[in-house]
Amino acid sequence: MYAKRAPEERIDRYAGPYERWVFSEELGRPYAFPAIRQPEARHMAAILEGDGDPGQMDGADIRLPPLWPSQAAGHAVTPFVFRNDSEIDLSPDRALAKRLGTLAAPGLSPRVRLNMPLDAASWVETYAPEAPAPQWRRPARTPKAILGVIDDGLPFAHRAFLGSDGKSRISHLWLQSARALASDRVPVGREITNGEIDALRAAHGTDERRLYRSVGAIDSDMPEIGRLLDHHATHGGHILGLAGGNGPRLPEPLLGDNIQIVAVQLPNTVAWDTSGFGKEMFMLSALHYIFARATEIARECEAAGELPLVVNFSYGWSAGRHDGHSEMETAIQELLDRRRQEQSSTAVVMPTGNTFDSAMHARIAAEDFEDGVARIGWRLQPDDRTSSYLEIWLPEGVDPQGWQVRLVPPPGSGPLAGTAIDISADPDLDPVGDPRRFVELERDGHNLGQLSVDFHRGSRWRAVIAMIPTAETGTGRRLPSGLWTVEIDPGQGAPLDTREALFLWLQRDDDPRALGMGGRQSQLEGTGGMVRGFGCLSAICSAPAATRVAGLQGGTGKPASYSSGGGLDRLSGGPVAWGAQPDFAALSDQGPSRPGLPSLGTVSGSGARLVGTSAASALATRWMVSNAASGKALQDGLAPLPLLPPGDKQVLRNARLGQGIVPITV
Amino acid sequence: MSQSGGFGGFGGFGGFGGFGGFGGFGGFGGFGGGANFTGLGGFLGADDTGGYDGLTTSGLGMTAEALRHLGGDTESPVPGELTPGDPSNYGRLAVWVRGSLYVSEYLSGIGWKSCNAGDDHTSVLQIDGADWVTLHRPSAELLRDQTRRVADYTALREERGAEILSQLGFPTAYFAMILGLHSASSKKTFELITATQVAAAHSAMIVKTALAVRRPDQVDGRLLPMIPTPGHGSFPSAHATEAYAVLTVLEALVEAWGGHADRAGRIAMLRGLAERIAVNRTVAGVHYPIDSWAGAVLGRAVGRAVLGRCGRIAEGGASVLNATDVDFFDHDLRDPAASAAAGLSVDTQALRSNPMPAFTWLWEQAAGESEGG
Repeated sequence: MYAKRAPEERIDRYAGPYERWVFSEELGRPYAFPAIRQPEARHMAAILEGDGDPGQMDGADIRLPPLWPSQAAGHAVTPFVFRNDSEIDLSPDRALAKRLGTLAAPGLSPRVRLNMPLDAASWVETYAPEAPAPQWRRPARTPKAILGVIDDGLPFAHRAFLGSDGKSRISHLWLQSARALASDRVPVGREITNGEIDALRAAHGTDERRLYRSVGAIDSDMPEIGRLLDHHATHGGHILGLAGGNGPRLPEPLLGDNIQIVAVQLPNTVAWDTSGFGKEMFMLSALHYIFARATEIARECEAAGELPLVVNFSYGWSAGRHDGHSEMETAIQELLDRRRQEQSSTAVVMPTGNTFDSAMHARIAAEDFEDGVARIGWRLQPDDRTSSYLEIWLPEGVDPQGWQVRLVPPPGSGPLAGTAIDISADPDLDPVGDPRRFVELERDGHNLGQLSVDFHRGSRWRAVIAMIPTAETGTGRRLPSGLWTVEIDPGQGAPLDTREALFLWLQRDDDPRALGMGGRQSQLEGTGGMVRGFGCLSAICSAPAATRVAGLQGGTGKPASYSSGGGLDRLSGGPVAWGAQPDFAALSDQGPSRPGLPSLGTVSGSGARLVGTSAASALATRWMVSNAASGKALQDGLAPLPLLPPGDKQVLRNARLGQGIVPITV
Repeated sequence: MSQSGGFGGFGGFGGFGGFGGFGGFGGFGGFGGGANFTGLGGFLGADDTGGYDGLTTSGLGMTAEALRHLGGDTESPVPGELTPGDPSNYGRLAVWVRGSLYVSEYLSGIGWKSCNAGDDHTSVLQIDGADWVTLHRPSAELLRDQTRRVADYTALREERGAEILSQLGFPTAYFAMILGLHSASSKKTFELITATQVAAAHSAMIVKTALAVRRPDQVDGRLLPMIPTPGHGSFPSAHATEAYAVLTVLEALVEAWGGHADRAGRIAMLRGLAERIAVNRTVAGVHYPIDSWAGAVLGRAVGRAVLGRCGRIAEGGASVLNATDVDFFDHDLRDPAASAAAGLSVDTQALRSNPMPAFTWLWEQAAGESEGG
């Protein structure tokens, strides 16, 4: 049972299905990441779409992070943070609903997406975005290109990032979750610039861990930065090394002093939670920050216009539109379009993903319907201690009048209520944002799940099914594990066109060890080739202007087994590509018996190996930014794939590897 | 390192299990690194030949009877005498016998006392009549606060597992590899390390028992340590005591050797190692960070006392620790402001322990094993 709330305290009037799920105590909040389970959600991150102005929110301190271009208006998606100065006694969902309600003033219909709460200690008291960076120093050599990296645990004092003059090549760094100083040029966390890194290295000598502690990059009292840099290796250290480091464990080409690095360290939960919720503000503000600081470097170094910029963004999640029109993809496209008007050598490089062989994607065509109903299995593993999410996307333009999504539980689950939802707008929900509807899956009055439908961004219907854990978690609620069946029934409505298909994606449900969340990945099970790896690209890399990098296995020239593939249709017999495809591939395994690539450990002198397309993306970034610094086109020298005659084999291969291979060997 | 014996399992009993073995030295094992002994185990039976097997014993008897007549029937000769009290005699002894001498020399000046004033309980370790280390017993609230820090460290268990398991006993191998020690050329250096570890273990057990502090998993069951909780109190950490005692002695030895061109770097690594050995026990879930603080303070004192027994000048003032809720870092131990914030105060008046002959002999031997160049 979802408790009745006063209209102005209903989060579902203003926010989407994930927010309703994770912020409501009787739904998914007890199983959310610790950062989301905080007793109050006073400091929040969010994004606003359209021409809405976050500043219109009442009763809150609103801040825009550094944006590019810098004016507040005119962004398709605006990241912002706010401190709720009202309702501090209400539960988070109610308090947030009241704040969002002030944004949804009459005549204004913005879409707002709430993100993860912020640590109060990371909130900068005096935010001075226009102030000069006091310790920044102009690089000895005029930069020819800027490398951007967005990741977790960045070992910025590592000697791999020193120039030939012994000074840091990391020009600007934003630790989004660090304990704040009294005043800073970023709204939350802390900015560190090259002069400060040099001074820290001089002050602390070889003791890098002490250096990180001294500057709040290791801080056990701030869980979102925590002790990550105490670990032998981090994802971010590995990726920053491959993309921008020089040293014995790292490949050529050597990166010269004329490449300056701008890096952003995400909050740990954003980096590790792969379920797709609550990250956009952090990711998008990271991109804006890198773009803005690249402009600043060009100006301070008196460059003629913008410098070439290659940003590595080795992140993603699984479920989403996959048509380039999600919030993140729209924002990435806008940033790239705008900057390329001033500097054509601008790229955001992303991995295709690691889910090819994970049974997390299905395509259901009209021919897959039986007796007019589409059925697919969703196997929810026992002992899963986190929520599980399934997204179902209808084709654009389909009128779902009369359509229904139903859940059939595994045998022995007992009587359940709320197993069906109509794909239509709930007239009780005010027409703010997207038309939508919610139903709770219940047993004996306890919520086991949430079925929702929404007309996403006003252009495409989707259904999201969120389920509670199958493990006993002490909340008195537990979902029966086993094979659930999802039915999609057009009912009396128009059936699916024979040229169209429904698309399903599961969110990843990994178990990041550092958080000990106990997630177990669910899978899709279907007949006739419905469940497939082709089409399982990361849900944030489909912007047409983004650069998508697949993983290649060394020695064999085959795609890495996990490397996610572009979508393929079976229309007219043979495979035909749909949607975004990999642009090209880079090494991600050294060979069949040497999975992964070597790179840096956290402290100077240590090494680590990482398996996944993240590493391929970083390798491609290294090559592209090196090209840019040499005055070449970003993708100059891409090695061709071996010749294949046109036909199915070529289509299948290109959906895995794209159009060529990054010419860097490891 | 090679070992003569196969008694490694003994080390697993931990700490002081071997005290009863004083009467029973002999027959097993070797000293030094590889077998990771703890407590007295480091010396147990080193160099002792034990008895021959039955067949050889019987064969020797037959041979004696068969050959004795060939030596003639003259009187036994008058022996050339050994010089009584001469240090050269130490080299004739089995290592375990010298082990007894080192323990005796160290303990000859060790005393302890407990003071209770209201809720404030302290334990004082005395050396040669002076108060060297005073540790205040941490409050129950402080233990609760520290438990959160122990929980923070559990995330490192996966990557530190090999270190933690191979450091259950004395982690001599880790020190040895930083200094390039070898069982053939560094015998007396290993012996000095072992003597220091045994002295440190004794000292830690005395203070631990007096202060009686519960282990972290006895406060919060969610910590679920990855190794068995040892059978002694939590505060101070004996691993930290041993590591910092060894560090203190080795720093002096490396300086005395003077041979390493990269001396400063090696000493920095030794300090990093001592910190890491201590912190690994927090990662494992069996120690609070304040245990490392207390252990490091105590170990530093033990190391100085050992150096004094060796006839070296290693002066430091009396230390008092009234621990606060802080994490443990080697740097903070050396930093006056940070150590004061951690509750440590060090008296300016220098203390020095008395020299003793066996330790002095051992130091001279070890100092002659200089490595590097």
